[in-house]
Amino acid sequence: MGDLYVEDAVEYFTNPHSRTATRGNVPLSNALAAINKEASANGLSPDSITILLDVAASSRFSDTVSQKLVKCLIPRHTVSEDAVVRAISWLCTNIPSSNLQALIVRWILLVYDLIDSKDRLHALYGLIFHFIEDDTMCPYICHLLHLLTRREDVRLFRIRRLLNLQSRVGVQTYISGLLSIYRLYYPNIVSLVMSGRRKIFFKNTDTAWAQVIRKVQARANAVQRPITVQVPSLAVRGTKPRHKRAKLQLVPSLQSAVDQTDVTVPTDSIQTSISITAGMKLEQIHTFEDLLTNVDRLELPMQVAALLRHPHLQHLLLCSSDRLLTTRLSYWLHHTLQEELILGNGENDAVRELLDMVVTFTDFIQEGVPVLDDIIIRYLMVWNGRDYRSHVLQLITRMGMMPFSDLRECILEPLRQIYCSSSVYVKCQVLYCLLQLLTNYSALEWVTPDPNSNTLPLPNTTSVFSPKADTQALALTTIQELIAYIDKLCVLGLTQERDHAFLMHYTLSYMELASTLGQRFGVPLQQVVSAFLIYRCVFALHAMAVSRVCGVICDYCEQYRMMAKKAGDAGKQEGWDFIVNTLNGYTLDICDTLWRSKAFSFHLNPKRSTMIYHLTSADAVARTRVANFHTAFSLLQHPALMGFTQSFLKQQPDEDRSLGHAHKHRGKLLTHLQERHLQGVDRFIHTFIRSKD
Amino acid sequence: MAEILKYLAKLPTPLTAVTLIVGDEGAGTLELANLLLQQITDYHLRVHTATRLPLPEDGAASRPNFDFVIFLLDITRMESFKQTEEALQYVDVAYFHGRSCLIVNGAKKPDRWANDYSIVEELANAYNLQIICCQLEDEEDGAVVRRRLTAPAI
Repeated sequence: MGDLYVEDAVEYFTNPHSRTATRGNVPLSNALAAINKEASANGLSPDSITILLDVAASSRFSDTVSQKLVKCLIPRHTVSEDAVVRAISWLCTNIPSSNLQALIVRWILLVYDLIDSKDRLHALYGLIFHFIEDDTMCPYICHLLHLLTRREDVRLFRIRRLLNLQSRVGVQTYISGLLSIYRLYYPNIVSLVMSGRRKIFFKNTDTAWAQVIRKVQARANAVQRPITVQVPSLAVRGTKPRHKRAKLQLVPSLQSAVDQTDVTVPTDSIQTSISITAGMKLEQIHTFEDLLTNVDRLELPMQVAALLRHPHLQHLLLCSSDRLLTTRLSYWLHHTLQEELILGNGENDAVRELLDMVVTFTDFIQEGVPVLDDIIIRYLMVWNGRDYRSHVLQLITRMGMMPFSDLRECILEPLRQIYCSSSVYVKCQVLYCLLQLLTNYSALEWVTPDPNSNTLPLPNTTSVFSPKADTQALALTTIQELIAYIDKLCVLGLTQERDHAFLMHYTLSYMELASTLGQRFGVPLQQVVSAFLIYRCVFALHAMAVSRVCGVICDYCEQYRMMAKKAGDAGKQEGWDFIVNTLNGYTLDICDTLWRSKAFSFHLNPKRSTMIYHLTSADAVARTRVANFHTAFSLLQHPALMGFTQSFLKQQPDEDRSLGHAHKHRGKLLTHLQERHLQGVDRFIHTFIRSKD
Repeated sequence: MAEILKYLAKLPTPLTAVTLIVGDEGAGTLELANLLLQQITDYHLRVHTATRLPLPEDGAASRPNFDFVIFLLDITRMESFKQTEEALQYVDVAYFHGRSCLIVNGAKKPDRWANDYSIVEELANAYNLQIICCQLEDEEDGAVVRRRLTAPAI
């Protein structure tokens, strides 16, 4: 017996004269096998699916055969709405057994995104709602309704019926799931207490089945996608013909809720504004001008997540005052990311693409999405430090303001653990991420208070997502504590990596940021970079470190002067004495070391206590047995600058070439360094050393 | 009172890191040991495994000093958690100053977790252990754990 063709097999099932007995019926098992083989290899065409679903739902064959048939219904591209509508009508007849009914609903759930249009299916909403009384089907029906629900479907009698059901069967996650979407639309009529952390309402029971469908779809799409050169267009995302896009993508494609027939194509004739009531299809928006002209006629997409694909629509989101839109988007993001990040297994491209979009989106709206913070915090708990690293770190930089204790507990501690046990590159990434977070906090969350008013100022930005509780008050503390935390991380990292140049660069970036926060964002100066980092850079072997650390001290000096000027008569701020003393200590030590060749000279003036005096003892310096330690780190002999000094000396006339003579040319050496982009040293010397000549 | 695993009860071997992995059968102790041995390090790495603590009396003489203790638990089985909790009581406090860590295997399948994650977190906090979550049978995840465990310390 050879293999049957699918057409023959379908023919067998539709032929009214076929034997329906299961036992000993060879043609039946052959037909079933043929369909199964074709379905799991290439998927079935929409027509075959319509026919076979009809056969299965009519229960003409035995229950096991029908169930097997449903299992085989793996679509190649799409599923026609007709098939689904017919299946629903079969469900109403009570001819299929309840197990079969449940299986059909499960199948609808699996292929939901592949159904070509949902208007007629949606028209059956009220009918489908009646199935919730069936205990076997209830979880799946709730899920289906959850997907189908639109604003107009939320009715008081439905809510009452759901609550009745809940009192009969107890609190079930799927009922809560459906109620929660009702509450989203009408928070005023659904009063529902939910636990703080949102749970997963609908379990994915058919993961293996879904996997098969995904695979078949991937294969079919790979075959179908023609190899053509992409013509770049303005609306890159979201305008390609629907059936050509891979359906594997997590973010749904754009599809307006407006029916095709409703659309009035604007003509050249004069139209009154009243006649243009019908919505404009989103698919017709290609340029920003289109969006501007039609902005009041646009209907939002059925699936709000499609916004992520469409750069123009994001403008619409920003303009619209509809809270529902942002809530729906948050809800979708929460659900999808929960499913894919926390319950998902390992990295995959679909999630990476989604995260890309989310990151671009947060960049566009220039603020974080609160719901993402929750997800990231949960994900960090079990994160291995590798999966989606760049995305996770980027999303962390967009975190909303929170008390520092929470920030440390939820974000910084998990990051620190990754930081300590990873390579230097990961360390740099983590540091960069925290610096970005610090910048964002300072730029967006901190608003300089107006000295003339007593009340706290309003944030200078308006939030797209619901504004959280007043974060102004804690912004300053969090920023200061965060600076201190990053400081410690830098110290730890440099010790661990033995002053790796990359890490040194990021540490210096941190110091530069910390020293200019006042000038850039008006954050008051309350602490300075720790001595450990300053001296580690002053005595480092990289010229970059020496030069930049000098620049940092200059920045601090400027910032202090600016703050002092602003404070004026209002009096000194608390803790300024300490800051001034520390900065003076750093400055004196660097001057002694680089310029005056008096490094570690404790004996010269025992009364003057510089920072280095506190950190090292004369004994410790003596024990290193380095001869001439006073001059070893001077400008001319500093190991980090040695190469530059040498190249400088080579340019001098013969009699000045020795180091002994070079002392008088130090000014020229500074210019030489400046020409090689090491401006820090020059700036430092000119700021703090008064020239005698 | 059974013997407590002492740190520096014997002289350590120079340029050698001796690691002890403690995890019950089925938690993936051997897999982890094999994984660690694949890593090329600039020190000599030796790995010992044990299913439970305290270690048996016989053979104590030939046992070296352990520099690092890895506790491995399989979060999908309650038994594994209990055994780790028990083993932790037979370890010298010196190990909890950065000389031990807790590896949670099976972390990527939350639907199969036998107990809530907060219990594991509590346990780790009580003993000051760093947690590394992973799925050891996953090859890439294994490589991450391997690198993180053998990263040069201060």
